[in-house]
Amino acid sequence: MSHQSIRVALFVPCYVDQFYPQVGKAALQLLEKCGCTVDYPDEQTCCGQPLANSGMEQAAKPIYHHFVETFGSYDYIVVPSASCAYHVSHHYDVIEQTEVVKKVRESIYDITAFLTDVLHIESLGARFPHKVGIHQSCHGLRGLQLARSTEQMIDPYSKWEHLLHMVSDLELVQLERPDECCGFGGTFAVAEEAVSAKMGKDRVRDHLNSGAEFITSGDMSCLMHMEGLIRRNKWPIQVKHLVEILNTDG
Amino acid sequence: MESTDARKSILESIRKHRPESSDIPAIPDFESPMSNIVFGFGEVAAANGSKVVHIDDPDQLQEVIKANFPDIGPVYSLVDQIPSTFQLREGAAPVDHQGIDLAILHAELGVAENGAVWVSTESMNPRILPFICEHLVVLLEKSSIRSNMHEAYKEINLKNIGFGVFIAGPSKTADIEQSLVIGAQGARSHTICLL
Amino acid sequence: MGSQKSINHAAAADKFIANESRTDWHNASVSYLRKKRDVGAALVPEWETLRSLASGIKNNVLGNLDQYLEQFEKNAQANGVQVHWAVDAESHNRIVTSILERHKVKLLVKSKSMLTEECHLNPHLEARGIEVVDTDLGERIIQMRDEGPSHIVAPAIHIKKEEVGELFHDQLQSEAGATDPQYLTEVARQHLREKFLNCDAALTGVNFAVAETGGVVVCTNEGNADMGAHMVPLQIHCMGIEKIIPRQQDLGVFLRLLARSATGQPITIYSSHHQKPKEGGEMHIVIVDNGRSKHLGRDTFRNALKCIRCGACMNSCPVYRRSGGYSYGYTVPGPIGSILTPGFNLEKYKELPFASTLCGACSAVCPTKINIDEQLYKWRQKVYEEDYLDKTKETGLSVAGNVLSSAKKYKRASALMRWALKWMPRFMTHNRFNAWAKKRELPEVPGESFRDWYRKNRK
Repeated sequence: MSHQSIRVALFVPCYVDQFYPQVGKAALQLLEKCGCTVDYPDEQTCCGQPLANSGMEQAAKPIYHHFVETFGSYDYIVVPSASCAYHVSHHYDVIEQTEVVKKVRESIYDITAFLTDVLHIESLGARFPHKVGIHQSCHGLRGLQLARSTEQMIDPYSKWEHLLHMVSDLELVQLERPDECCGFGGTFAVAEEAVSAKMGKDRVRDHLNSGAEFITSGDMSCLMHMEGLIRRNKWPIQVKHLVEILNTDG
Repeated sequence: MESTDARKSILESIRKHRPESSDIPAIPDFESPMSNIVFGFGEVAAANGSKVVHIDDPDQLQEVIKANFPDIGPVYSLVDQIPSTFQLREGAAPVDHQGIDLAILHAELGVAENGAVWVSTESMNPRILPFICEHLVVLLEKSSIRSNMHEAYKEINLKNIGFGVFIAGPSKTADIEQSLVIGAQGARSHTICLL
Repeated sequence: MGSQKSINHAAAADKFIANESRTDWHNASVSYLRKKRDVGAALVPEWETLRSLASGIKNNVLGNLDQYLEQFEKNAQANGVQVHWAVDAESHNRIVTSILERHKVKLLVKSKSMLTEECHLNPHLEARGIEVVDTDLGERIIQMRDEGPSHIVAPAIHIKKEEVGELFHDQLQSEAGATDPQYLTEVARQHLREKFLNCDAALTGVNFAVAETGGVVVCTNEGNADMGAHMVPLQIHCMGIEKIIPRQQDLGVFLRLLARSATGQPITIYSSHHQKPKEGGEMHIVIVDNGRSKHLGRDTFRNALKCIRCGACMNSCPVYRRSGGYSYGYTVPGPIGSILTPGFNLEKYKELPFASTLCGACSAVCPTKINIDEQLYKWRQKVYEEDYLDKTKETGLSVAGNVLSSAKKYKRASALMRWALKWMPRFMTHNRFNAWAKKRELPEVPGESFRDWYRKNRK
């Protein structure tokens, strides 16, 4: 397959840039493997969500404008974070809706949805011989509807599972509570430290009980939170972003 | 008067604050997922904790009562086939109905999707009856069973009644540690005789 | 707004979670309700259509509320019902008191009504020498403990059976050490039967008030509302203005959704339609505003008035389940409480919109499709706009905002942060002032950022 005519900008969220560069690399390589021409605009910073979720949407507006300026000229903006994609597409409604703002809001994709809905990927050539539990991040699940949540009385589907089924030797585990939030929630993680840590602990325990060796997710922020608990408690499980698994060699 | 002023100010405040009106949706007919609504009604009612008994003739009611309530005390009956044995004084108040062991009445409708029966002041007096008795038996004709609540409400005219109630089983509670307990404040058992 | 002390959800939650096994028990109890909801809802093929209908009907109600209320009043009066209007909690309490005093009521039996909790009716009546008995078992338990509800459908969900056993032993002379729910429920039945037989008046809440028929619908499983309302000549029903639905046929939609959303039951055991007073009796309906009409004017937030009080958002909320109902400091806790309370008093309840991860389970489960998580987000913006945001947080984020809107500043700042995290001694990064590091490790700092790697390898 070739998608070289499509100009894709890779948006690497600030915390991924700083702490999880391997996720950025995997996203870049994966998109290139799928035939895209990928650019990483050097001026990029952040989508502004940390401020907006704290109530400071007004103060985040300069960040929104900077984001639009940085990414406005691309066909697609792809980000390995459902949360950032959700924020740009849903919450950039508070700045003036110029043509370029509308275009940015429409052309930003979480990498999962980009692979399934735009590139229509059907095979990957990846191999990951491990038991894996999917952490369905809330912004991906209920925000971007990447899968059916247990609240919805509709036919089940999951774009995450669809992609992971293409990975050889990977075994998906069944969780007791497939779509319980991990408790990260941005500043919630520190403002509501007790509930956040308890939610994270319960979430990791569900994966441990299911026999998973890895927790994967389309959102590194959830994984960062759970990894913090895992390392503190020395639990026998690891986290890996979805793109790290999809980008493995077959 | 306080209430009159309040009425005016509440309505004014609403008029000032209400959003633009939107159309009220029409409620479509929904097909029942049950292949047989009489059978389905029985299954759901049983799951609710009701006892469902099939009879072919109202005269069989006597046997049903005898078999299911062998040592029953005072009976208050609103159906012809069963005599009342509960003694009431002239001009009895609702509170005087305390002591009824078994009340028997006609149900006007049944609802298959939730196993509920509809009784109203059209066929029942006093209103306290199905609640104050220890045990309740209702007589329901199979032909009065509707598939869902929408169909049931088509047959009911609330404007014509003083009181009406859907009863979907024996009184129950789960307020102590989510443990289901039958017999909270109302009838301890609920028997539906399907005719 | 007064300088009332703000509700500190995080501190209350911290305290609740300190007893971890009890938190797990509470989480499991509440989750059980949600699991039953999923099973019950799945049996209705048209579930999502019903939600859309309910949402559409409620939207129509909000746009025509004044007319529906007038229509309701007219029809109720034609039915022989006396209709009263109360602008706020105090006037509601005054109206109820005057009806009761006119009938020389000494004992009032009450069935579950979140509205009378909201208005603090009980202490008001008790101060005037009227005994009030809450007759729903859970409500009775918390009343005997002198507590408020911790959940709108299961008010005593935070209490263990051992504690109920002790309470009943102390106050109702039941067997010492009894814990069997069956036995304890029977004790309550006998106790409450005595109250029903001796009461002078009954008061209930209202689930739905139908404009077309002038009647009210009250749903219970225990039958307690009916045991009261039909026992004595005087029955009173108290309702918020938002309880109105237009047509009798709308009841079909809402009764199908209510119990299934609340507990997974296909319908509550009793769905009672009160139309006219009983022979020789009086039926009163008190219509209460108490801030609702003002809330109707808030574009972004008015949808909260579509709530039918099923409790599904609480049962679905991962925060509520782990922090308990009391952490919200209001009669209606959980997600719906967190979008209602800021409208009453933003300063007092400014923390509640932040007591959420914005996971969205509440909105997805809501039978009337209230956009709860979006409203939580929007209330956060209001907290900032009205200058109630915590100053340390605000300053930190303002600095971040400044940095993040410029690539140059961002690059410089991130290099500094990475350097600090890598080289600062652990006691400086992992201390009690760092809430992240209390129970979690900070991420390990890699050798180079993605940007550095990209610049070296790709440009």
